Parts: sequence; structure tokens; C-alpha cells
Amino acid sequence: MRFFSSITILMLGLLVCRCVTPINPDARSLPPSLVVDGLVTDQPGRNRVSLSLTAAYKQTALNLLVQNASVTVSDDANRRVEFRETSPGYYQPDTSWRGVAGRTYTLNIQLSDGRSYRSKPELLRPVVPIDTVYVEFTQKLRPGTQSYNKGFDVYLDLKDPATPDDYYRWSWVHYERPYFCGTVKIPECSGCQNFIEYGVLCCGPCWDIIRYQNEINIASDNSINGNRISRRPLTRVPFTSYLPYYLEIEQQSLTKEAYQYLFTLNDMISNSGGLFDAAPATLTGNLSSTGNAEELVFGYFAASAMVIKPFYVDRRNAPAFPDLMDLPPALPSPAPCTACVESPFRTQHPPKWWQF
Amino acid sequence: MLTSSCKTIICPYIVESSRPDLILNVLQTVGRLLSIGALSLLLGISARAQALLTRVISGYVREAGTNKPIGGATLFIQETRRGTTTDRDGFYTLTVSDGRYTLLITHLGYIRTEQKISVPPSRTLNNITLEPDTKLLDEVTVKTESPDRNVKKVELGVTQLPIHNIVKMPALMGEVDIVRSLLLLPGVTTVGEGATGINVRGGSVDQNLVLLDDAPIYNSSHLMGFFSVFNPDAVRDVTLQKGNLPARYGGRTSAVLDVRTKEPDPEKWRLSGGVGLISNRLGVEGPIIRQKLTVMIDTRLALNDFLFKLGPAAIRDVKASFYDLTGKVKFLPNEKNTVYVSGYVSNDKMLLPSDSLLSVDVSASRTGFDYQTANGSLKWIHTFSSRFSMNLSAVMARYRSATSVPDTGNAFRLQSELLSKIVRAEAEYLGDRHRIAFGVQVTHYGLTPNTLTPGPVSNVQPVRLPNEQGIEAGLYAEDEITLSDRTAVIAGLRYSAFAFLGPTEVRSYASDGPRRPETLRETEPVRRGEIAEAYGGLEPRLALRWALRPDRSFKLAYTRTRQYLQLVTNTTAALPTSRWKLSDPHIKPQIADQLSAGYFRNLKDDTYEVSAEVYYRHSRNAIDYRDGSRILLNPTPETELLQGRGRAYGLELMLKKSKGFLTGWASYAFTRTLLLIDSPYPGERINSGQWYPANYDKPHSVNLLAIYRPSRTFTASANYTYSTGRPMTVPYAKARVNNLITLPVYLDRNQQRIPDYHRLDISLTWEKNPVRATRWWYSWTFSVYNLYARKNAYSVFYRFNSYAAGDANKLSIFGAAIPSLTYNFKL
Repeated sequence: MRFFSSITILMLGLLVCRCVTPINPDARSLPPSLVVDGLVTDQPGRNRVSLSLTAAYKQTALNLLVQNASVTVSDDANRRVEFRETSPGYYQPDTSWRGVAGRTYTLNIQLSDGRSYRSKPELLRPVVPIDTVYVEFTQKLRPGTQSYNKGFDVYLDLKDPATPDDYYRWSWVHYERPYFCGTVKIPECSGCQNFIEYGVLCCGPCWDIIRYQNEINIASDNSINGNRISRRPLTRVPFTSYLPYYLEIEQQSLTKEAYQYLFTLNDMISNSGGLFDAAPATLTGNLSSTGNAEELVFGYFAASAMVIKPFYVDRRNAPAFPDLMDLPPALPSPAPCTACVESPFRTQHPPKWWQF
Repeated sequence: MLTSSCKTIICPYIVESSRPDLILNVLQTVGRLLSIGALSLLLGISARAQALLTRVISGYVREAGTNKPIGGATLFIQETRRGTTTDRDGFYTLTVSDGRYTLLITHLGYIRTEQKISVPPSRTLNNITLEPDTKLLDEVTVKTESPDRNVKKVELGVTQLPIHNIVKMPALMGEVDIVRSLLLLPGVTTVGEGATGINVRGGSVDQNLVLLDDAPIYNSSHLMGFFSVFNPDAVRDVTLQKGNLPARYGGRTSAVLDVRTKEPDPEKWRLSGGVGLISNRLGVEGPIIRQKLTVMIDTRLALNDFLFKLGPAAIRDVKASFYDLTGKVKFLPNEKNTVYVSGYVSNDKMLLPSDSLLSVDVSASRTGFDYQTANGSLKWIHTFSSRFSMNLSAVMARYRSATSVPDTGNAFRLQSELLSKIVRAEAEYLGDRHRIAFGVQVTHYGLTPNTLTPGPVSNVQPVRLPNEQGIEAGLYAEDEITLSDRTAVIAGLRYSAFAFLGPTEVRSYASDGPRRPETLRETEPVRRGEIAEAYGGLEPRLALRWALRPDRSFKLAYTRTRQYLQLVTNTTAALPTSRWKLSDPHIKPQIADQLSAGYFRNLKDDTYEVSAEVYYRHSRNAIDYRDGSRILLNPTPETELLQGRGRAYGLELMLKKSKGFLTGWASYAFTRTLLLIDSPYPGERINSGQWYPANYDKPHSVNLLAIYRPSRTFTASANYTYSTGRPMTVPYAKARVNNLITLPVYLDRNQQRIPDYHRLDISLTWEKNPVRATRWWYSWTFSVYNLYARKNAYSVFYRFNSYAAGDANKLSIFGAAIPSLTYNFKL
């Protein structure tokens, strides 16, 4: 339980210097092994499998993608769907395909070198809808400064069904229209070393896509079964403008195994190596090699029902002024424009529930 | 900032601390010169001596009892205001004319002596003996035992520390800490600063039996693990047994830490106390009926909240406090009977402004955390004759810990409790060549593992894991036989038995697979009072001493122990809220065999003690955990625990100086602790079924302690400690999941180590001169912990964000020199 170690650190940090210094312990190595990240949901367009290899711990490059693999998902009625490589290492079925709650899905992978892997069957469990989503404005003085950390905490409530062993995962996607689609740097004078940065407007409609970062927000109904899950924190929306803040809140069901996998993963990510942290564990998911039982395969293939709830955070009634964003000035007209390039972080298509 | 400030504080005192030494040197030099001068005077003047009718007084000054010559003693003739000092052999010479004189002999550490002399005649062999000033010397010696006990006693691996020595050692934040001071002994380590308990000879924290006046203490730490629960004002001495355990101790496999409270003053009422950075102490003791009925009560209270309020905003809302109360009543109705009633209460509370509560899956804005110990004991000692005595005792010990969330909607309290009731009868017979002890001890354990109680309008569902109860019995006999002047033996035998009692249920798992919740086949209820499982066996204890010469001996010991109660946690150090678990049909008792041997020698009239000890310990059913196990609130903990073999071995060397102004020791220990957990099923193996180091395996450690006490009013002490870093698990590789999360890939446990640990502490104490006859005694102690501000690693961790290139980071919590000032008083 890291909160104990963090508190002891805090406690003593007060009286003594608390220092974090990089050190260099010997690195161990492991031959590259397959990492699978797969998800099948009951929503079209939200099904994917990505394949990569592990990297040496000290290596900066991470995405050792596995291309040209044959990826299929079969269900308990022996129907198969093929996942095609839509971008390197990233495999998706037809956009119309979706899983069905109550069915069991199995992932099969064959690499181009002939090695093949299979997941354990994963049940797609139904999920209850989100009851209410609500926000609370808070501001706190940033330690050591005169400025406030202002923001809207988003919470959600739901009614857990009477059945035991319900597991949940929450995530969110935020869309917002960028002020500029790019920037240019123009010297202050000809031959100057100082540059002024200008923003360049978008040529057409454009949205930035911001996803939750590095967080595993999961819960089980073990301690509250059948009651309400209340005040589940989702995210903190920054107070940077009076404009509504568009969120797509996703609630997924998980199997017990997937929950345990994510729980352990979360532990490992937030492990600070302290005395009161759980010992690091070898985390293997539900995949294995069909030929060689000893071969290490990492990652998890999950099946989830998903409900998506659009939500606008109304930022007009906060009892404070928004923090101003530091934006470069726009190029004086007549000015060129920059195209909105389609990517995982930007799109020309409005999100499904966009109202403005 | 702290470092610079403490430098400026220290410097003048360092100068001052060296001053008595300087004065002493000057005195000695002057003394020598004077004696040479006296000699030359004698030679030169003696020619004229006849004429002036001067007489010579000369002789040796020696220590009473040992007859050791005392060099540098001052002799002073009051009437003539002339004097001299003795030379290295304790010899002195004085010349006087006829008359009657008062000769005053003084030396530091000895009682000032007066001698009336009349000349004539010449006294050419006027030998003087000085009595050592025990009041002073007692505080200078490192032990209360007789100095040659190290060699003479049969046991090995036993260390006794009287409290007045522990008080002299440098303490963290001025808080005298009994458990922490034990870390200076060879073979005693801790997993890290701030961890609860100690690891003795490669045993885990729960393998030590910690007793405070016969009552077991299940958590010996305040404030998570920074300070120990024993109030130094209430303690008389501490004994750590790590070699052969006497047959009267059982139930733990590694060591016994026996803490004894002081005897209340039988003559007059006394008040004592202290004010420190962490805690404040107040105690009172005295007779209700003189010599017959005496009481003692000592309290300690720490309210650290104000410290947090001075800190950064993030921790201003942290609240933490603790107190403890130690009490004792001693009743002596007559010479044959003594009755003791002892009580001990300790309480810790913390409230954290955080929601990172992982044990229970709810959201929370604050987390409360508290734990209490409440012990009571009754003991009756009856002496039948000068050779035969008996004692009966009854003990009740309760340890309770809880985590709680106060938020209305998600309010709950998760509590666990361990209640043990002990009855013991023991008799001792002292013969000419025998010392026989035998007895019986019965312990009943009632364990409430985890109870989750929701608040009045909480959404949290109550959970109550079934209670566990067990009974442990030990029957033992021991005889210390003096075979000859040279050899002695302690032969002991203990029969230990344990029964896991109903009401409970016995779960059975599929025999052809790993023990997992999925492979649970059936559960069979066991009714109240019925035995669900029983374990037991003989535990031989043997120790042998062979004195090669009076000042040196060789010893050998063998001990077997069984343990039926363990602390189960998969964290590196145990938490105060960690779960206790009794042995049950699935969790087998731990059995350890230890073989140890040692060579002991005293040098220079017992001034120096040298010892070398080796040991090998093999344990069966050692416990470790599955990868990613959850123990808290788990109704089937046996599915997360793995049992295997353990082995520990080591060498402990120690050189100790226990006499003189400068005392202390230097020790080196080599200790290894390894575990082996193997199984036919891959999920039940750790590190592929190979031997691997335990979390607290720290091979090398060096400790130095020096206490310098040149006068009654000043003491300086310093200690240095070095140890190998504890093992840690490092990732072998990393994987990327969902383009967002970097997943570290761990394979084998404990294959790397955190950086080595070393530290130097100093402490300076000024006391009021005890000679000055006022009732109020006081002392000031100034200490600096981690003098050279070494940034020792508290933990090593990896940053898992996408930007850092997987660098390891070291976190230090005591990364600066920590000065502190404590005031103590006695009335």
C-alpha cells in the first residue's frame, strides 16, 4: 500500500531533505517477446488488436511493431472474424462488426514466421448504464505560489446490479476545436536570431482528440455489491475557458481475470519501490503460445460491453475567472491556412454528439 | 540549510567536547613532569634532607579489588598545599617535614579518599587503594553483567543492553529507541529506515518473539516504523537471544527480544520526564507502602500535527499522533513472595488527506489509520527455599489495527484484531552443579482477520472474514549442568503442540492442480471446540561451553523451534495493518533448526571482549507469496501463500571494550538468507524453483559504536553503520500497451540490490553534576543523525511514463543531517 510509504516520505520530507536521484543498477535483458493488446466490444469501431515486441528496459524506442500477422477472433458459436492490419501493428475488423454480450471470444494470432498464439476464451459481460455524471468546481492554492489550480472534478454514479463479480473500467475522450492548426516562426528582422511565433488557422473544421493518459480507472463491486457506486472520480477538467467541455465517457464491463490483470498492472506502474509497496510480479495475461508453452507472451485480450455517455461540462457558472491559455498571435491577414491532418490526435469529422 | 545550520551548532561543541580530553592530557603530562621533578628534587634534595629533617612518603596507588595500578592519580597534602601525581605504575613520592598531614587522593572515576599521616617515621611503602566510583563507572561500562560473563556463560548469541547504555547512543530526532539501537549488533538488520521490526540472523520480522514484561508485543513500532513502542524511561534492560533459545521460549523461529521494565523505587517518590522533538515523556514512581507496595507509571505522548502544519501545503492536513503508557505495581508482602501487575497501552493514529486506499475498492477523500496494543499481566513469584522457586503468570495481549474512510457515502472501517491469552507456570531449582527449570505454557489465540464495517449511510457492504482460533501449548524442562570447571552444558527439551480450533470450515482443493479459488472442491464445517488440524513435535535445545582457559571459551548450540502464527504480507516491509494468520490445515507451521558455534575471549582483564560466531539455520515451510497476490479481505488466503524451504547462514565478529572512559564496539556480520519455493505447477514457483534471496537479505554489515565519558557531566557518542543494500526486483524489459501505458516486464524476484547503506551519527550529552546536592537532575542531549548527509536509498523505482528512458531513481528520505535537542529531568 503505497499511501503509507508516501505519507512517511511526506512526513519526513518536512523535516529533512527528500531527494530523488537517478542511479544505474545493472540492467537485465530478455529476448524480444510478443505483446498483445486486444479489445472486443459491443460497439462498432471500438474493436482492435495491436501487436508489438518487448524492448530492452533502457531502450528509448518503444514501438517494435509486429506487422503482417494473421489475426482472427472466433466466438463460442464458431464464427470467425478477421482483423486486418489498418496501420502498422494495428489490426481492426470491418467498422460495422461488433461483439455481442453473453458470447465468448477467443483471439488467434499467427505471425509471419509461423509462430502462433491463442488467448483463453473471454466472456463479453453486459454492463449497466451510467446513472449520473456531475461536476464540482474546486480551486486550490498551488503550493509555493499565489496561483490557483482551478478545475472541475467529474464524478459518476451508477447502480450496481445484484449479481456479484461485476467489474468496471472507465475512460474518456475529449474533443475540442483548436485555435490554430499549426504555427510558424518568423524572424523579428531579416537575419535576426530572434523569432516570433504565429498561429496558423485551420483550413476547415478540425477537432483535437485528447484521451485519458496512463490511468487505469477500474473498480469491482466486491465491497458494495448491489448498491450504488458513488462519487467515482473520472477526470479533472481544466478551467481555461467558459466554453462547454465535450467529453465522451466510456464505461466498460470486465471479466474478473481482466480486472485482476489491470489491477496488478496498475500496482506495478505506480510502484515506487518503497517498503510498503507490493513486490513486483511477473504479469502474464491470458495469451499463450500454441507451440511452446514456455514462451513468454505479454498483454491481454479483453472482451467488454461498453456504454458511451456524452457529457458537456458547463464552465460558465464557476465562481472564478478562467486561466488564460498562452497562445501565439494569429498571422496577420491575408494569411495562409493549414490543413487538418487526420491522426489519432486530430480529426476533420465532428464527434458523434457535437452540438456547436 | 539544515546541514549548514547544524555545522554551526556543532563546531563549538566539538571544541568543547575535546577539552576534557585535552585537560586530561595536560594533567597527565604535567603530572609526569611533576613526578620526575619530584624525583629529581628527591635526589637533589635528599642530600640536604638530613639537615632539614624532611621525610619521604612513597608507595603505589591501586584499584581496590583488582589491584590494578592507577596512573595519573593526584595526591595532595592539604596542609602544605603541595602535591604530586602517580606515574604509569601508580607510584608516587612526596617529601614533607615532620608533622601531621591530611593526604587527599583523587582520580577521575574513583572515590576521593583522605588519609591522615603523621611523620616521622618515613613511610616508604605507603600503599593506597582507591574504590572505583561505581555511580560513574556503571554508566561507562557497556553491560551490567559481570565482565567475564561473555566467556563464562553457556549460552551464545545473547546480548543484554541496559537502558543507560541505550540512552547514550545517538538517536534519530533525539528519540531514544530500543529497537533501533539493536541494529548496531551484528546479525541484526532492517529492510530499511522506517520499516517495522528487526530481522535477526536472516529471520523475518514476525519470527521474533517480542516480550514486554512477559506479554507479547505484536507491533513494536510507532508512526509506521520510525520509532519503537518502548518508552525508554520505563525500561530497565533489553535482552536479545539469537543463538540458542532457552527451552522456556517457543512459538517463534528466529529470536527473542525480552524487554524488562524497571523496578519502582521502594524508598521515595520520583518524577522524571523529557521534552523532545517527537515526543514528551512523564513518569512517576514510588512506594505506596514503603518497601512493600510500589508503583511506576510512565507515559509518552507525541502530537506531531504541528510539524505538518509548518510543511508544504500538500501535507498540511496530515494528522498523526501516538501515545503509550507503561505501568507496573510491585507487591512484596514478605521475603518469599513477590507479585507484579503490569500494564501497557499504546495507540497510534494517522489521518491522511489521500484517497489512495488500495485495500478496499471505494473512492475516498481521506483515509484514517490507527492501531493499538493493550497488554496486561499478572505474575507471582514464590520462593520455597534459597534453592527452589516458582512463578505463575497470566497474560492478556491484544493488538488491533484499522483503516477507515470517514466520507459519508463510502464510510467504512476495516479492522483486524489479535487477542492472545497466556497462562504459564514455571519452577526453578538451583543445585550445586545443576540449575533445573521446568514449566508449562498455554496460549489461546483469537484472531479476527478482517472486518469491514460500513458507516451508517454507506454504500459499502459489510464483510466479516471468519474468526480464527487456536491453542498452543508448550511443556518444557531444562538443566544447566556444570560438568567441570571447564565444561558446562544446557540441555533442554520442549514439546510444542498447536490445534486450529472450530468453528471454522476446512476447504479442500483439487489434488491435481495448483491451490487456487478455481480449484476449490468442497468445504467442510468444523464445530466450536472441535480440532480442525493439529500440529506438534519435540524441540531439542542444547548448548555447550568448553573453557579452554579462564579467559577464553568455545561454545556450540543447537535449537529447534516451531511457529504457528505468522504475519502475511506481500509488501517488502510489514505494515501495522498487515494480516496475522494462524497455521491451519493448509498453512503448515514453520520449523527451524539452528546450529551455531562461537569462540569468546576476553583480553586485558576483561577490558576487551572478542567474539566470533557462526550459524546455519534451515527452515521448513517458509512463507512467500504468489505474484500479484491479495491478502487483505481474502477469504482463502491459502490460495495466495506459498511455502518452501529457507536457509540462512552467517558469521558475526565483534570486538567490544567495556571498561574505561572510552567504551563501545566494532562488529562485522556476514549474513545470507535464501528461500526456495518450488512446485509442480509453474504458478506456484518463485524464480523458476531456484534459491533466491529474501527481501531482507543483506550480506555485509559493519557497525561501530563509541561512547566517551570523560566526566560525570559530559558524554559524547558516535556510531557508524554500513550494510549492503536490500534486494530489489528490476524489470527485464518493457512493453507498450494501448499506445499509452508502458508495462514493465518483471521475471525473477530480488536479483538486484539497492545501493549500499551507510551513516554516521553523533550525540553529545551534558548532565547536571550529580555531586551537587539538589534534587533536580537534568540533562541536555544534542544529536545529529546522518552527520555527513549521505543520501541513502529508501527505495529505488522506475518512472513509467513515455518520456523517461526507463531510468532507475533513488529516493532518500533522511538525505540530510538531522539535528535534534532533547531535555530530560528527574526529581
